[in-house]
Amino acid sequence: MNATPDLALVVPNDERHIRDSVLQELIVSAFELFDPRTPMDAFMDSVAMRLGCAAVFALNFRGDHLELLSAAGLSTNSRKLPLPTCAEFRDGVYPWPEVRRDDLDVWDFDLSDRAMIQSGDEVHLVLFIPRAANISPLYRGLLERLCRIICSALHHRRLFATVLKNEEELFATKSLYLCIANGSSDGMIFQPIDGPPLCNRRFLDIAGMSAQPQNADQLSSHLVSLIEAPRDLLARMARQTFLATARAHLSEKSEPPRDHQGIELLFHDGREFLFFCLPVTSPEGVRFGHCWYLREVTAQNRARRERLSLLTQEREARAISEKARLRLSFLTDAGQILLSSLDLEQLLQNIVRHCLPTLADVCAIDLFDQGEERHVVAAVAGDPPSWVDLNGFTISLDAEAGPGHVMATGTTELWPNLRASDLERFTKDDNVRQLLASLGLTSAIYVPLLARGRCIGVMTLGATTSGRVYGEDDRLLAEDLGMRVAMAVDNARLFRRSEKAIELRDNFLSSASHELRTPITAFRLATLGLCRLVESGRLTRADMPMLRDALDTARRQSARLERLVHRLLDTSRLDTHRVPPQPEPLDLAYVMEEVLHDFREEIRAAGAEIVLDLKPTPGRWDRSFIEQIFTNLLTNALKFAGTRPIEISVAPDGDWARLIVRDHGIGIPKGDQERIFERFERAVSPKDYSGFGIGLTIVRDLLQAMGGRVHVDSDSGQGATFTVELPREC
Amino acid sequence: MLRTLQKKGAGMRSITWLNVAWSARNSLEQAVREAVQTAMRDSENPVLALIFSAGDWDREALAQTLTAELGSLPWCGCTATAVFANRKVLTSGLALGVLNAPDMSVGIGLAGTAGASPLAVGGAAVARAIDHLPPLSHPNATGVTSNRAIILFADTFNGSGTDTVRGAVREGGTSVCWAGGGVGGLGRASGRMALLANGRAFLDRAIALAIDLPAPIGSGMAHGFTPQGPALTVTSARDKIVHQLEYRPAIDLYEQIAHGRSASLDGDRLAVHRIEHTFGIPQADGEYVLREPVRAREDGALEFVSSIPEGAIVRLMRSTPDSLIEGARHAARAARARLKASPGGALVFDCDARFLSLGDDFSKELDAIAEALGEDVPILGCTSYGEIGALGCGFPQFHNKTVHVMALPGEESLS
Repeated sequence: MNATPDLALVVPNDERHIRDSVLQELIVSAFELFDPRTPMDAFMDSVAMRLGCAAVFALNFRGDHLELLSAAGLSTNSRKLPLPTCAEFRDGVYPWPEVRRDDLDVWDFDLSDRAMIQSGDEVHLVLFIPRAANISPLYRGLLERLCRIICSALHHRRLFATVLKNEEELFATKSLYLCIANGSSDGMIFQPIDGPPLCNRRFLDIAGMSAQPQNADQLSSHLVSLIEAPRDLLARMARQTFLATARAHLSEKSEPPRDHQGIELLFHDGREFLFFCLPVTSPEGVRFGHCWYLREVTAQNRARRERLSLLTQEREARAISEKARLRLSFLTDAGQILLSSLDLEQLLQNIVRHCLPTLADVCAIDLFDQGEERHVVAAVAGDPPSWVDLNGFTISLDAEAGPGHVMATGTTELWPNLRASDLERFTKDDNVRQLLASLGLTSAIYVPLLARGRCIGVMTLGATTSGRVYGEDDRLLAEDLGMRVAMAVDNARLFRRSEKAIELRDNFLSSASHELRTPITAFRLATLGLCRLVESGRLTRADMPMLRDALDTARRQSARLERLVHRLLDTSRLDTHRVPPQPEPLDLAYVMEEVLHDFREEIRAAGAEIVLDLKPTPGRWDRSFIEQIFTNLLTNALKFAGTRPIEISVAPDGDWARLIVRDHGIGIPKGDQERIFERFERAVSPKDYSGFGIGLTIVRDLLQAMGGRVHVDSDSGQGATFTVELPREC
Repeated sequence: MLRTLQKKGAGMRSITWLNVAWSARNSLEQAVREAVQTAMRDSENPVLALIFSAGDWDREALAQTLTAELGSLPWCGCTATAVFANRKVLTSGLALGVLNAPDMSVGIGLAGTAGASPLAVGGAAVARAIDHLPPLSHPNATGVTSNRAIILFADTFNGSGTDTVRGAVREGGTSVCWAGGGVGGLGRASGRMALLANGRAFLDRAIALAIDLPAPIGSGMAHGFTPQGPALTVTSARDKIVHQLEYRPAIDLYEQIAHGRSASLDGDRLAVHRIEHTFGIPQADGEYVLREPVRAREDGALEFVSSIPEGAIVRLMRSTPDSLIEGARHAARAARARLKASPGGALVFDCDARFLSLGDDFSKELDAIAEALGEDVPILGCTSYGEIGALGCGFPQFHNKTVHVMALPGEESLS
């Protein structure tokens, strides 16, 4: 298909100009081939227009596969037509209607270079020129010259395309990584080996920056300005060191901190961040720099703190609950211990033992109740506990503090940290101070034992070697325990009293029955004899003496019964219908004489000698009370004196009146001298001596009603002296 | 008003016949009605109407009136400085042709925006025009003779005519017969010219009219200019602007040449000078593609109607009225020679500048065209701001100061 070159010997000027113009224009147009971003179409159009082609093709002959790189003069539909093979093309098989003509010359130029050939490509520029255009063959040479430029341009085009492609890929990768970096929820500062630091969008948002920092100094200064210094000195120093190293790394490209764990930063606005550094290296180990991360941990830290707080609260609640359980368990056990025995001493020992060492290193319970026997139990913790005898030590109720003060006031004292100087306030007794000091108490609680509105004792809980420090909770527990102990002690005492009362009642009943049986028997016998005599009908004058004796016996026994009955009535009067005294002017000496007169028979019967020393002793008293007092004292003296003399004296003593009744009878043991004034209490057996055991009780009660008192001075076998003291004005 | 002639011959197959009519009435409605009725009166197989309008009528009103009058008949056209029907030249009036063809396929494609992307616009307009046409299968079809013709109307004032035509040819290929003209220039008092189609007027668009006929269509193109004076290398140019000639500001050399011809370049004198001294880009076949300068810029550059490639060695081209007329005759002869059948009509696109240059002698061009084609051959055309076609047997391009004649096959022998 190629035309035979037809050389002209002389080129006209116009021809030369035209040729030069076409060549120059096409060379300039070919320059655009260097840029792969510019389509080849413009160059192809230029070639087609200037050379008047029907079509111009740029084809790649790759083996037998034809590739249409570019074309001018082909319609869009023609471009879509299936391409012929390379062999078919070379044989002139053209599917495109634009070149399916009889009048076309085909000019084929090889544009392949070594690189193309090596890669198996063979690029050709093929021109279809209408023969009628009469294009000079010189243009073929022109185009061959042009093709060298085109070849070079295509070569550079490929290289440039590769560069552009690589740049695109690099840009795409960079964009992708920028997107990833900017999409990260961590603030990031990339510090390359060379160059300024680069921050991602998140970091700029965190730092409140609208643009990239101009330099590392600006960046690090701004970052530091956002941070709140921690209160803790060590933490502050650690942060300063870390931040200084970071700053140096960013500004001066010095080594970054080795501790990649980082530090936590608190911003002034309350946000918390983890600031750490990681190297940026390729898989092959090439280091590009370091990346600093600012990771917000506000929510996590808040959650963690909340969890910790909840955990702490839960633990505290559990501890409180456990404490309460232990306390309840302790109190429950204490309650059981307190219920297990009504023996006061045993009860106190058990509870003291229970308190050691759970509640105290030293525990003491001192029952110091007026009118009751003193009980004091103390022990020091050990296995077994060491019991301490405190009976020789008394409590000072007028102390400023300590057990005595607690006893007096009925209020608990808590001494979390007990010092030696505090002990001086507890007592003035040096012995007691020494004892307290010897115990080595470092902390103590003194709890009043309150029962039925009054303080019956003090419970001491002390810490020594354990180092425990008593607090409010311990005080509450101690008071709870104290309440139980007091209740148990009171119950024990009440139980003992009730036992005693029962015993006294039994004794009384026994005495009463014994006392009543004798006169009733005698009276019965006398009345039986009289009845027998009367019923026999044989009553004579000779029986009169016998009758008189019987009647006399009946009269005496009835009188005795009357007195016994009066005494029984007196017993009931002790508890019910206590009559207030009705004072009237009296002379005690005169009343005593009257009473002695009433007792002349008993005195004569007893064979006792009465020695009187009666001085006029006027005053105002209740007559019946005075008579009763005198009667009961005299009765006792007559009972126990036997035939030994009884000395009675009455005399005034200022505003007081004193009555003394002394006998020389069996006497009263020291240990019984208190209780004989209690009802139904007797120092002798009812088998030996009659009585209900209420006479002295009545004497005491009547005297107390008038503001007086009685006391006894006696001992076994040495008689008894009862001294009554009365105010002159009742 | 000119009556149309309809030829009927025995033993002949009628392929196309162009019924041409004109009206110079002042009233738009009357002018349209008169022209349409005249053109349609003798039309047996009307398939297409072509409209060229000159004057001050409102463009949208013109389009709507034409649609209303033509009904369902497809039509397109443009406004121009001057329009002609046969030998009648109108600077204010309507020239209308109704193409009768019993076996013709027509496609009209519209695309914009020519100013922003002329390459794409040219291709899109052609693609839409030929979308419903069957694939071309005519053997030995060229850019000057083919069974398919694509007539392109492009806004070359706003867009690059060169690129619009490149895009169109890329879409249509060189095996179709190319014709058409640029619509632009300031025109007269009515302002810019416009494209007309689908009942509307358009600016900044391209309209492609594709017609398929059972016989080849012939086209011819010529300008009548000859190179004179020195060759000037375009050392710096971009699109329509030539910044430097021979490494000097373009206007300097142009002035030098003008002074050499005792002409100045102030105001209207530039207009006269540019008409008489246009640039020619040489082609390998010896032809010159003309480029008309439109104005001198303050930076010393010259602006042209269409682009001049950097590196080209241009020549100044001169013409005379006779050479212009002879060029028109040559174009018509070439078009006639490429027909196998007798012509049934002709479309002529003649440059505005030639019309302005020839003045009253412009009708002599039409006379020359009519003589070359045949006295009875209906001629329809207009002046244009650039012409589209293949010069010689070359590649279809955008030209200035050129005449393009497209001859339509009329009748052919059945034997």
